[in-house]
Amino acid sequence: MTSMISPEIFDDERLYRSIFLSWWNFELERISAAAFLDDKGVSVDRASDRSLVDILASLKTRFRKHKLKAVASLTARQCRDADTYVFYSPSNNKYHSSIWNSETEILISLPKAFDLSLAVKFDYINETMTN
Amino acid sequence: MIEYEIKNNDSTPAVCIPVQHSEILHFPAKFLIAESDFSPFAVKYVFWDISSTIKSSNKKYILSDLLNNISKIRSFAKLPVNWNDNGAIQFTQALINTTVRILQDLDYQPEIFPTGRDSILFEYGKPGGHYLGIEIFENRIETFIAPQRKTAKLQICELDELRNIVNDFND
Repeated sequence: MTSMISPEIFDDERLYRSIFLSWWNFELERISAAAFLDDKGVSVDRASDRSLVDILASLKTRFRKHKLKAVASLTARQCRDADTYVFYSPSNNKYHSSIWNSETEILISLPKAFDLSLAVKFDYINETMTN
Repeated sequence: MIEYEIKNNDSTPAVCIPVQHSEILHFPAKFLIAESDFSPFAVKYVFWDISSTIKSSNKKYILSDLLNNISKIRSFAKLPVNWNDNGAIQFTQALINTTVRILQDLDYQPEIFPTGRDSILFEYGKPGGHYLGIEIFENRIETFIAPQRKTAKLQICELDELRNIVNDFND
């Protein structure tokens, strides 16, 4: 029996995003706003009731072909503070959620993408990311 | 415009650089070009031998920075469909060419990133959290400056205006 996930994402729930090496700004030593510029909105995994260990294990498995370089996260509250719209959008991944520019606009503006890039904290960084 | 073709050690073409007639040319013997392979994660470095280099009096960078960035932009064309695992399409050659042309017109070299919406992002930073982002689409440019939170939308042809924004930020 699988547990039900609330459709509502509360402010303190963390949202996790896989980070590719090509989005790492070595000059500024942080993630680029490009990580949040996507024509399908920003795809994230909500934490739900999982531990960080379980979340990272799941992402590493799903992104193994890409040799996952990093996982960054931020809270739903931080997304809302950046005036973006966060919602639960399960697919074959039951934790899948999305960040849009607003309730009716998918494309996140560059200023909002910049704000999100500043808000994230890193939960996992492969050593090759910073070498 | 003159187009210089730089060749690898085995004489295979490496990269083509359009150069203004007015530019003075000085080529170093060797420099480094970063070239991504098909994976968005891997970057390999290759030495190219060339006979001379390009230097324009207004440019505030060394040629290798420009060539590294051109090579990086060209590598985006090799990213496969779904490279971001979110259904990204391949970058169009038109966007790649437009971005390279804009890059060559700037007096400062940015950090460059692929996005998942068929655009390419240039980023500049300065101490104190100062940031300039330039998102280049096939038919337009959008800029953002922090902490002033100033935005602008430009046509691709408004390169003088873009150069002014970049120079105002970096000078």
